[in-house]
Parts: sequence; C-alpha cells; structure tokens
Amino acid sequence: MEDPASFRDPSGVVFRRDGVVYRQINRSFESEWALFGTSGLRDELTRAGLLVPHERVDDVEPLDDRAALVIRPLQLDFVSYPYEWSFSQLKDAALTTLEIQERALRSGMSLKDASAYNIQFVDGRPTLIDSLSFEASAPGVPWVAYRQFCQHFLAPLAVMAYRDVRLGRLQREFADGIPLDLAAALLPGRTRLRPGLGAHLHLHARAQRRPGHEPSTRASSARVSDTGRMALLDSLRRTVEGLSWEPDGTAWSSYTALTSYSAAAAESKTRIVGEMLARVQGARVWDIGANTGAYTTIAVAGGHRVVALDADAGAVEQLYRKVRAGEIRDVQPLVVDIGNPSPAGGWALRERRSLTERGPAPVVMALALIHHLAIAANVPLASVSAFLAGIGSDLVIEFVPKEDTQTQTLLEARRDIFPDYTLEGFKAAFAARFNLLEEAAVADSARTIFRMRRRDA
Amino acid sequence: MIPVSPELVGPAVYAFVGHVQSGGSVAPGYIDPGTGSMLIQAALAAALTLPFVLRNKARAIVNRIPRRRTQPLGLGEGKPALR
Repeated sequence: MEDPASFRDPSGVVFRRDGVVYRQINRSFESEWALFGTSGLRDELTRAGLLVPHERVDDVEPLDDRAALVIRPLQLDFVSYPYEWSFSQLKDAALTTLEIQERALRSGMSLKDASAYNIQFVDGRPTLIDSLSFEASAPGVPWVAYRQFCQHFLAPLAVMAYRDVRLGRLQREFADGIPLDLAAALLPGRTRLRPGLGAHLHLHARAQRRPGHEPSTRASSARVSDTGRMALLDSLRRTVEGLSWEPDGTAWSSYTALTSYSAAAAESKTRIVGEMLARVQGARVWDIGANTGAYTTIAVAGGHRVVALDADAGAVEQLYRKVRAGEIRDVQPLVVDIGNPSPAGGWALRERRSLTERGPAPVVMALALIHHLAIAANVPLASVSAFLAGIGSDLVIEFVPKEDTQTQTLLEARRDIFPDYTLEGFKAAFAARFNLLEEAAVADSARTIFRMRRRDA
Repeated sequence: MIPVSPELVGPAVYAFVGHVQSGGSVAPGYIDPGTGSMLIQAALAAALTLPFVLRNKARAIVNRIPRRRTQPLGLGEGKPALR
C-alpha cells in the first residue's frame, strides 16, 4: 500500500507491505541515486547519523512499474511532526538540515527540498529520513530549497523565540511552513535590524511580494557562486544558532517542583508505577501528560520505549534537553495537548496522520491527568475511557479525587458540576472498556493508581 | 538528452550536463523555489561572500597562533606559564 504522504516527489514512493516500510526508487531518479552513492555522500551521512540507514532489497516486489529498485529504511517506532516539537527539537532539526546541505555541496550534490517533515528523531537525534532528497548540484544555480528552509525552520523558530513559543503550532495550519510575510508581520520591528533575520526573513518576505515580469527568465538569471552557497549556509546556520528560548515560567515546566506530593507519596507513586509497568504487555509506552518526564524515566528504566506527550512546551523542552544530553534514552518528547490532539492534515486529510492514527501505543500511562481532562476540560469520564481504550490496550492510570489539593485548585473558582467525579464513578466508567487488574493507593495521599487491560485485548 | 552517468563522467561533469539538460533554468527539483526567493538568495549570497571569506581567513590565522602552554595542575593550578 502506498503511503498517502508520499506523492509529491516523482523520484520515488514510500509503501508498506506486511507492516514493513519500503521506499521505491523510480527509474527517473536512478542516475541521481547512483550519484548519491558514488559521491560517497550516502555513506558519509549514514555514518554521521544524519541520514536514516537503509539497505537495498531485491526480494521485495516493487509497488509499480516505475521502479528501478527498492530499499528498506530503518523502521521507526513513531512518526512525529514539526508542530509537535519543542523549540530545541525544531532548532536541532534545522541545524541538521543545514549540515546535510553543506556536506552535500562538498560532494557535488544538493538537497532538493528542505522540508521539516523529512526529519525524524532517531535515538533522540534529528535524522533525515528521505534518502531521495538529493540531486546533482548544478553550477551557479541557487539552492532550490532556500525558501522552504526559511518557511519550515527559520520562520517558526523566529516567532517562537521572539513572540511566543506557542506560535510553533502555526506549523499545523500551514502545510508548507509559515509564510514569510506572516512571520515578518508577527515579529517585533527590532528583528529587522538583526542581520540574519533581516535578510533571510524580512527582506526575503519583501522579495516574494514584488510583482515579477517574465518570472522564469528572472529566476534563471539568478546565479550563486560555490563560495556564495557556503556563505549563505553559514549565515543561515549562525542565524538559527542565534535564536534561543528558555522554558522558565511556563505553566507546567515547574509543575513537578511545585506538586503537592510529600516525599512519602512521591516514593510510593514511583514504586507503584514501576511495579505496574513491569506487568504490562508491550514495550512501547505513551506517557500522556508526561511533564518533564519523572515517570517516563521509570518506564525507560523498565526497558520501555516511550513517547512522552505534554501540552506544555516548556516541560517538553526540558525533557528533550535531557534526551539530547544523553541523560535518558528511548524517549520521544512531543508537545501534544491530549485535550486537543494533533488532527489529520494535509492533502485529503491523509498526508499527516492524526495522533491516534499513529498508534496503537500499546501501553498508555496517564498519571495525574484525569482531573485535568474531567474537570478542567469538562470531558466526561466515559469519554476519557473510550479515548484511552482507542489508543492502547494496557493502561496505567491515576485517579486524583476531589479532596486532592490539585483538584481543589481546579475547582477553586468554578461551580462543582461533576457529581460523578468520584472513585466509584471513575471505576464504573473505565470498567465499561477495561478489566481492572490492580489498584494501589498512593501512600500519604488520597490518590489511587490502577492497572487495566482493554476488554478485547 | 545526452546519455551519461556519474560513473562515466564524474560528479561535476554529470551535474553540469544535468544543468544543461534542464535548459539551464532553475534547478530541476520538484518544489517551487519561488522567483523572489531565488533572486534574493543570489543577492544575499553575493553580499555574504566577502565577509564569509574574511571570517574564514581570520579564523585560520587565529588557529595558527600557538596556544599558551600551561603548567601541570598542582604547580600553578593551570595558570599560564608565560605571562
């Protein structure tokens, strides 16, 4: 079956067969593919961890008669999208793209696209997954993907750094990156005076607005020397490196430090979660509401690979920094609001898959989450149960009762319209979808943690 | 079309032939590079070239300057030996 996101580039196509992802390389791209190999670039990028490894397979039937050959890339557990990345994830992906382009130019090739969707995090590192993104570098021709790089990376990073990190979500709205005129309008006026942003974003946006006469002639008259190409990349790199954002002060990034747990409760919860995770079926865990990853760490220590989701960009940023520093492995931190999870998008709503379409988990961990969904977001318990049953078969979930200080805070300024939000109501709602296998009270706390398995699992 | 391969003529010649075969126009990629983007890129690359070259030369000069030796820890706690 052809991957519904793989239709724009005529060089090849991604397809799945028996659950394995393959990439067909079309005859029209065969010579460029050969150059990618003979130039040494393919091996160089793979060795450096910048390109996802792949192997040629001759025993797999291609998708159609356009095929020259079929390759099998490293299989990824989970595909994430740029609008789910924290600031540093997007920044590291941008720098990786620039490094790849620099190495490509030195090998007589060039990236023919610079889509952020071509980057995935493999073992915590941004890695190019599109092996067909390279073409021979024609002398004097400007970088064809310059505009795309600025829209996919520079514009979102700039508005996140200078305005608000939540503006990264604009990437969800614009399939080909944030339009430069929009980014320029959002940015403070002083950014016009910053050399990199002034040039690559503000001037660039103005250049796009100018009416063009005989556009093909004007575009083809543009020439860039080999040194000019490197100078442009160097400028882009320094511009990206100059953008920064610190997560201090976001709502949840300090949540762990401010939580109402006593030391005894924290120790008890840690022990219970570790014991329950040891008894679940499946190696992959979605930690929903992961915050800065306190319990993600426990799952990883138990041998699980974790997708850690949290709505707070600051918390996710902190967790990603731990991943990048090598303090924790096998974790994919992502900015996802489970109350409004990533929808499907792109052409025909099939190009980008929704969060749930990228499941099943198969193990879901939902600690200190239920009160935010049921009370802060008014989602009925039965609906929470149905949603979680749809993404995982094993569930470790914490019930936070009304007498808990965190729940009381949520109810502080509003009427309590949640008569069913009780331990009994919680059990009834979840028993409709799950078998309740274990429950354990968290010491020195009113909270209870459950391990459940979906009834049909 | 001229039947060539990178193995036959080498990457640089291959790239040039590809450029000629594409009509010498914009790069043969599948995305729209944007006319304004191509033009501003060319202008920026030209403007950035000299500072880039000068910066690289300056960096090369700095790298050639021998670093100050330090005494072994314990004798001067890593302070420069020559002042």
